[in-house]
Amino acid sequence: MSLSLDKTTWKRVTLKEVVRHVTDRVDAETSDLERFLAGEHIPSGSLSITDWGVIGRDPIGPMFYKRFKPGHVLYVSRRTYLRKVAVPEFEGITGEKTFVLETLDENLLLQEFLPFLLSAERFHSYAIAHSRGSVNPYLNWGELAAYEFDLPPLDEQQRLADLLWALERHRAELDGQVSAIEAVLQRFLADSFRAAPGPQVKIVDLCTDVIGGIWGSPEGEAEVDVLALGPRVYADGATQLLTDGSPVRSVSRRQAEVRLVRDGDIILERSGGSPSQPVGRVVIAHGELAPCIPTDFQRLLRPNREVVEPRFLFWRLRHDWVAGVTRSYAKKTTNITNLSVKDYIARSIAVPSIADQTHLLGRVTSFEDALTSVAGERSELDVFRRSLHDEIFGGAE
Amino acid sequence: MTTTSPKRITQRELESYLWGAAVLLRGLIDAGDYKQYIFPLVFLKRLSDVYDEEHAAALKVYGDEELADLPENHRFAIPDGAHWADLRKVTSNVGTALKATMRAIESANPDTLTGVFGDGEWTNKDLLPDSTLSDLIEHFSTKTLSVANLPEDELGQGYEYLIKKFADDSGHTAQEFYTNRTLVHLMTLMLEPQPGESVYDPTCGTGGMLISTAAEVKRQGKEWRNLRLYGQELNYGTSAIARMNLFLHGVTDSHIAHGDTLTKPAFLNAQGGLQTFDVVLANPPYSIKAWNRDAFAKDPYGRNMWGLPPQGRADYAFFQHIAKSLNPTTGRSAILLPHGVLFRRDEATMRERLVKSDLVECVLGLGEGLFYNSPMPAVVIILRTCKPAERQGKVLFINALNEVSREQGQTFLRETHQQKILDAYRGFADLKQFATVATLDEIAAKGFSLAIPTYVEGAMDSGEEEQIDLAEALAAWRTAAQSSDAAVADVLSLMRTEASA
Repeated sequence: MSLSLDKTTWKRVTLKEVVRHVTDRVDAETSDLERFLAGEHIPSGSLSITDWGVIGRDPIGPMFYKRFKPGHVLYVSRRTYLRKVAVPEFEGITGEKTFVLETLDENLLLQEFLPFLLSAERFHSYAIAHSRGSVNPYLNWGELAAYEFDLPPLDEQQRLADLLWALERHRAELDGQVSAIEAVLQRFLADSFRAAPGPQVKIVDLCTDVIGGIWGSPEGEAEVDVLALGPRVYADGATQLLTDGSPVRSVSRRQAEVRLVRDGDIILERSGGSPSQPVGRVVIAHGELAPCIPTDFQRLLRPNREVVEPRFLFWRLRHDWVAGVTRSYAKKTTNITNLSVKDYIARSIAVPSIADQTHLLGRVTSFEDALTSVAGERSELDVFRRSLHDEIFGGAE
Repeated sequence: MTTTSPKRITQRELESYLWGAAVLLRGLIDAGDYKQYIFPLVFLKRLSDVYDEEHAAALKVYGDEELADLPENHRFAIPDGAHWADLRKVTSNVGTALKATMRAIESANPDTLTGVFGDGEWTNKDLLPDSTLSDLIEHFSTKTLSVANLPEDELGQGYEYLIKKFADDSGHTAQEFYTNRTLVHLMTLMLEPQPGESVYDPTCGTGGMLISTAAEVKRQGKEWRNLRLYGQELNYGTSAIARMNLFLHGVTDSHIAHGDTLTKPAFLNAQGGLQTFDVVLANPPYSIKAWNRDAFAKDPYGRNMWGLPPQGRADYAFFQHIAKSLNPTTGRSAILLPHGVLFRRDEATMRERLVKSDLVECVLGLGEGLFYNSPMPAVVIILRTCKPAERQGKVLFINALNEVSREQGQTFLRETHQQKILDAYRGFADLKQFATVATLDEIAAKGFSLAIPTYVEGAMDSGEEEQIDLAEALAAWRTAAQSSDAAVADVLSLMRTEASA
């Protein structure tokens, strides 16, 4: 593939020659605007905005007075390493630390090309290098305005913007697809579990072992070095256990013996969670793993394969967590929510025959395959998008 | 006992016979899974028919039924009740009977056929109702698959046809088990396997590369039966097909293991180290992300001598595995890889060590489209443990980007293309705009990049590394998009059946 870029026709400019910093002040309370955007609403590394605050409902800071309109480019100047650039499709208010940007002249720079100039790694590395302050580094307007880059001629801008926006739209489509498939899967599981024939059995009786995790000692200090599974194993809605990035800890041979995670083990989150995310997430171990053990805030459930397929129990528990069942078994002590595991696994669930479980799991596998391949496409698309950006704007310098 | 008179089956008849079975399965199972059901059935039928053929030949000699059944008259055993004719009598629970038959044959031939029938869900009636299985059995009963009607090679080719056909039919998994045959042929010509040598493919799919090696030795009129073929394959069903495929091609000394080559290499020497081979041919899965990097960091076989590959692409894990699997004096390998391994930044350290090892003999850049359903340009890297003196400290770069033909959506290497590449490789000298010999010092001066345009003038319209990178990224996305479309379509059709159930 070749973009046939002829960069000899591109012209070196500074940002302030082609971009205006919009300072349209309004009062949040008296304006008739509905939405506001704070830093947390603006995503890293993606141009589309799917989350916002509602004026009058959500707390809004005193420094929110900048009005933006659809199509403006918003750049979060605080903590520039977060790479937050986005284009809203609605109007609203944002805080003083977010730059609202528009082209000075559509005959020099197309507004729809601007977001990509500011998404280029070359720009981000400039912004990070020129940020001030160590705790909360920020980029001021003067530094931003002084950014120099090569600007393609208008028709080339149009061609590239069309291509890049098409990719952005496709990314958003894929994210939508993932949510849609997940929603159908939850619905399907809810129906299947509700209609499941079979005796009611306590979850604890479906396991040969229920084992608490330990944190162990620093690497090399005890008999066996293992990977200690942290909260990261639940990140991004994971279902399968991945040990990547887990720290190495050291435990005694006896401690390791029972706790070493095997194929089919379920790792239940015992403490954690947040207001928006209940405690009680689960992941299941599959295949061969590096030697690893659960830690203090987890419980290892080892399903008894004679009566239950490990994946059946896993999907049941995951579904219960999604459906909010774990909330009724959670206690908030400090800032951390704890799951009363004893009560939680004393619950009874319907356990169909192994053949019926297998049948259901076959169906679930199709969903999993779909989710994995859509996620796979999303990540390949991101790689492609990055290399395309590098090709057009040059990578980090 | 089949009594049909012998009748030579043409390749075309065989193809429509095999494809006819796939048509019976359409709509019941995913196209990607056809092979798991069709191949074992054909194989079972073949075994029964060949057994009958051997029996008939022995009967002619001895004139005695019992003597004709003695094991020395047969290459394999068919236990009582496990014959195709017995299967045809079953009318209910056909799947159970099939499974029992397959297991009985496997147990009766522990040295040659263990696990050969794979693990298809024969007894799952939702997937395969009795009526479908009976239809399949009757369909396969329409021909007698004796050696007289269908020599080994030809049935083997029928398998190859089906493999390719399935690759076309379910594009998203094609590359997993099918490498362009014209390319495999070229790789074989470059490595020149000799009678009696060991040949290994660490990610062997359906065994096509191994078979191609045997076929090449045979074509040269040399003794091919004493080649020792070894392969390992992660997908159980595919590894079973590889074993049948080799058996059907008449290869007797073959060892196909099932499992993950990176975490559990199957072939070890007496000291527990990696077994080494004379010839290695490989087309490892492209840049896989789901692999056990933690284990590789502490690899007991020392296959991380150049470094630890990034989680996002295991290419250099396979690469190092292959380098370690080469016989220190006779070893040579041809590996089909994505272009990125030649210049990707996050693999620079490993690439530097690879170059310094002086194993690389040739870097061959090929045109686009030689991978199934992927426009990605491919590269073949030739390693050799003992280079001839005049090649030591040197690497030959060949730019064969234009040496491909495309017809009806198929990309392949013509004989003339293969010959041109082969001549350049054997000549090991500079050829204007086609081949360049570079010394290790020259490569070091270029930061150990192996990107072909860096060495061969006019190899690309522009020498920008990113260009290749971009094409590769685009191709990877395209492939991923196809799989995700197919997978989503599967779920939708599943939900439709659920809703109407």
